[in-house]
Amino acid sequence: MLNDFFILMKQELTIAVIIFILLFLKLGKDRSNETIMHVVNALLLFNVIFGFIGNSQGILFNEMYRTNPLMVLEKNILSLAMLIISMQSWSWLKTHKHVIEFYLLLLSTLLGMFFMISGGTLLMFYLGLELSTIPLAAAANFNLTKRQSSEAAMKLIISSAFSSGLLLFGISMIYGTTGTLVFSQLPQLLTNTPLQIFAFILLLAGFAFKISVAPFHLWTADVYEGAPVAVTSYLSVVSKGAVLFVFVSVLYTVFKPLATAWYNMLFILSLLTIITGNLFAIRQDNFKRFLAFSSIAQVGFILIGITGSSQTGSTSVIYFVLIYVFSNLAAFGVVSLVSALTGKEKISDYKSFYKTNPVLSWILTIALFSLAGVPPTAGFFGKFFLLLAGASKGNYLLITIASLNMIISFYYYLRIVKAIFMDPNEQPIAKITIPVFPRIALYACVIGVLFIGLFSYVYEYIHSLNSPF
Amino acid sequence: MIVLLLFLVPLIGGFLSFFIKNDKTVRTWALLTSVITLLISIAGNTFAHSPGQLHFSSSWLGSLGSSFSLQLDGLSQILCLLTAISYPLILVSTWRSSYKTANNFFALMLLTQAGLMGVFLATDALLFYFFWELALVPMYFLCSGWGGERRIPVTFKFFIYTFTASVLMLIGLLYLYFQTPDRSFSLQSFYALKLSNDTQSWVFWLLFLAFAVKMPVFPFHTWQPDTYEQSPTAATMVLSAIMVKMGVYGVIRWVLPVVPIAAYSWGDVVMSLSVIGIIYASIIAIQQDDFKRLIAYSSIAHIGLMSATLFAETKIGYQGVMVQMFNHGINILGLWIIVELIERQFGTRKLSQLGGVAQKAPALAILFVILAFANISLPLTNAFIGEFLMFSGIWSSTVTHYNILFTVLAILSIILAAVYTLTAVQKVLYGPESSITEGTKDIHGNEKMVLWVIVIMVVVFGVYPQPLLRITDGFVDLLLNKINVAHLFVK
Repeated sequence: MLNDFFILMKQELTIAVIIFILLFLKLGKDRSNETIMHVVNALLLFNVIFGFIGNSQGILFNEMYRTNPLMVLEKNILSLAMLIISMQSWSWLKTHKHVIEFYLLLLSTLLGMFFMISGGTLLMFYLGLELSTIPLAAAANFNLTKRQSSEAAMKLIISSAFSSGLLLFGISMIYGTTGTLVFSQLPQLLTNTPLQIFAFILLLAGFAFKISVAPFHLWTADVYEGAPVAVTSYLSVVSKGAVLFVFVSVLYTVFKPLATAWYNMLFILSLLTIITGNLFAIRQDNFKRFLAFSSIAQVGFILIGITGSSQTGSTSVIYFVLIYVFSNLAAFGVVSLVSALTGKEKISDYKSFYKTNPVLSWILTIALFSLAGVPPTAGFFGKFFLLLAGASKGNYLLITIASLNMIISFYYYLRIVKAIFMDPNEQPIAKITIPVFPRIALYACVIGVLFIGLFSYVYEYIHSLNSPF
Repeated sequence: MIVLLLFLVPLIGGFLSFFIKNDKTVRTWALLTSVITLLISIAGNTFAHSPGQLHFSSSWLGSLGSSFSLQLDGLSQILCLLTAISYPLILVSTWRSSYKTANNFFALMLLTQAGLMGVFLATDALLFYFFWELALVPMYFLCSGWGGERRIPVTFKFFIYTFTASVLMLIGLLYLYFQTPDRSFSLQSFYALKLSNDTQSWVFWLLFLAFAVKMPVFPFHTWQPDTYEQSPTAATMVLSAIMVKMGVYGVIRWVLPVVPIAAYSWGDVVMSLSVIGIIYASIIAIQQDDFKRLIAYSSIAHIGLMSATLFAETKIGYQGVMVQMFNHGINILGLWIIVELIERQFGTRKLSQLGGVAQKAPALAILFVILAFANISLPLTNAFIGEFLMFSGIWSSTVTHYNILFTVLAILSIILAAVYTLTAVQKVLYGPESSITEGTKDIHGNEKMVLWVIVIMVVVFGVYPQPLLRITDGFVDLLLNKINVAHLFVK
């Protein structure tokens, strides 16, 4: 039993240990930011490597906690993203007074996400979700001197409180109609009664808030704009990715009996989300707001993959999130560097960026091409598999509209590429020397973007971990 | 193995070019890569044609039924050969054009070549689509990075246009994929599909649009003259000599045999569009004062004839298309070199500002006139063979009732071609000297050599086209078997 406990929960335990190490670092004598960040990055790297060693499968605590190779992989993806974000925020954190607190907050949320992914009951899932949200609101306030940052934190906490309320209401009704919260028992008890469908809609709305699906997306842009870039990228990649992982697995296993109901809902939501995200993204000038709306559109695409309801469906979603980690973090990495060193966050500031910073320009371009889904970048394969999964239901209307939206999205991504390479600018952003850690992180992202798509092994591996619908 | 090398050599050569900073070295490197590719292609055509050399297949995305499979059959042979021959010619003839950050330029050129080779070789729908886009992306950067003044809006339009069409093609391919019994992207399983007539119709349009934009067929041509005009000449050469053939190739490989009934029933529509395009583009070409735009419109007319012939579904016509794809590539390459020479020397492409060049530059005049004859497809030039075969193909077509009308209208293109081409020749070479052309110097060195090579090919293939016909002969028979609608109906 004790052995099982250590083996099955090794990823959660690692994070918990790292949190404690950081607490002790805080208690001891003052250390320079750079030392702390070296230690943290080393620990996070260890966490990623350790996570990849060995797969385990099992159930603990009366099904409160369960794990399997797929969940291990999902957690590893999140750990990897956490490491990359940590390395990218080097320049911003270097001068910050509260580095350790920042990491404590982020790691707590990561721990919450791990529990959420592994949660075997709705209760455990809810606890994990809360643990992953509340510290994040504090982190969003981490540009302590900026009013915007506090505003972002306020908006985040209020909107997540609201969505948690919806979730809880839904959960309580599910419990009321079935008498259980355990995932493995729920499918037999869900019988498509109106009350259950209503409960499901509430749950769906809660999820939709977290992954910013239209019409529940209104908080996204403001929070992304106000929060520090590190937190924004964390919000858009890690926290969204974690909720998506859970969303897919819950829909595909627990709510499988309600499949016809949620298929139609997701169909409408995905179209709405893609179109909203795209239309708003066209008009943005702030880079973070722009990425917020582009990420909304991306989530719309993910929903299309989910409507596939097949093994390919869940594979394509997880695969897409993996690619999204690399492509979005490459973009955020560049924005984060530029923002930390020059304070500029507008797209119009990036005109003629290529003249002064050719390397960063290429990285940003590759990232944007991947987000747009242009071969040979991995983003193409991600989108392609999502569309493929969606098309397997024979819904070609959805696929066609989504594909046409790819073209719109192409327009606005290309607009930035154009600004970087071709638009003239009297005062382009000054030459930036990239510190070592962000450099490693950015190169890792670029390698991921360029090669994950071409090595079919990654897709095949994820496919083999997913069970048939 | 040959087939894999055809794709890998330019790909690897292209990636390495990014890292060669020295201008001279990177040019030499690019040329060396393209010459090696040419040698491989020739080897594939002559002695190394055992099945093991011409096929390559390895697993790629097994769970989705997609494999990394390449194949070099008659159709691929001739287009790969065209690509392989064009590249050294392009690189040598633009040797003296200077580019900022030359390493990026040549790397992108070679990557485009890799993409083109991939398109011509792939026998897996997913792989095909992948290469299709792979050829497009570097081209976008080439045009928008090194092009003329209005390059940015123009390349934007080019990219959005072709991207839209190819996304529609992707939907078509996905649909076909889900119709295959064993969920496979391979060409064979697409060919084995038996779709209902209605389904074929809209799958046909989804796929055909992508290729029609690329060719371009009227009315999808509006991106083309602007893009040709604004791109750097080397990129224009790739676009017009090779890339437009991607469209023709796509129709032959992915449309006609997959949806033969739709191709039959929509044939009249496409042929009408093509014939309208031929006449429309020719008339516009007559009005042009910009030399580049003139050739761009003339190219639309030539391609229009090819696309009309594709839907005539006759053996002689298909042979004409195959030969003409190659010949048109060679000829238009020569014309672009002439344009490049004129623009470099006089700083303008306006025909009205030129004149009297022939007296001081006799060599240029001779070569230009021969190429102009080829553009009009006069007998003894290579284009005559191709166009003659195509005209007889349309004439003898049994799938359309309007074969005679289409032929007559299409043949008008020769007369109109004579009008605009000879006008251009006259305006550039003859007449009084203008202030710009006073100090004309004759051509020499690289350009002269390349032009001679092209002119020799024009004449040799004009007199003795058998080598080209032989390459594609077997393929045409197979193709006709697959698309023979009468035979399908009997079943």
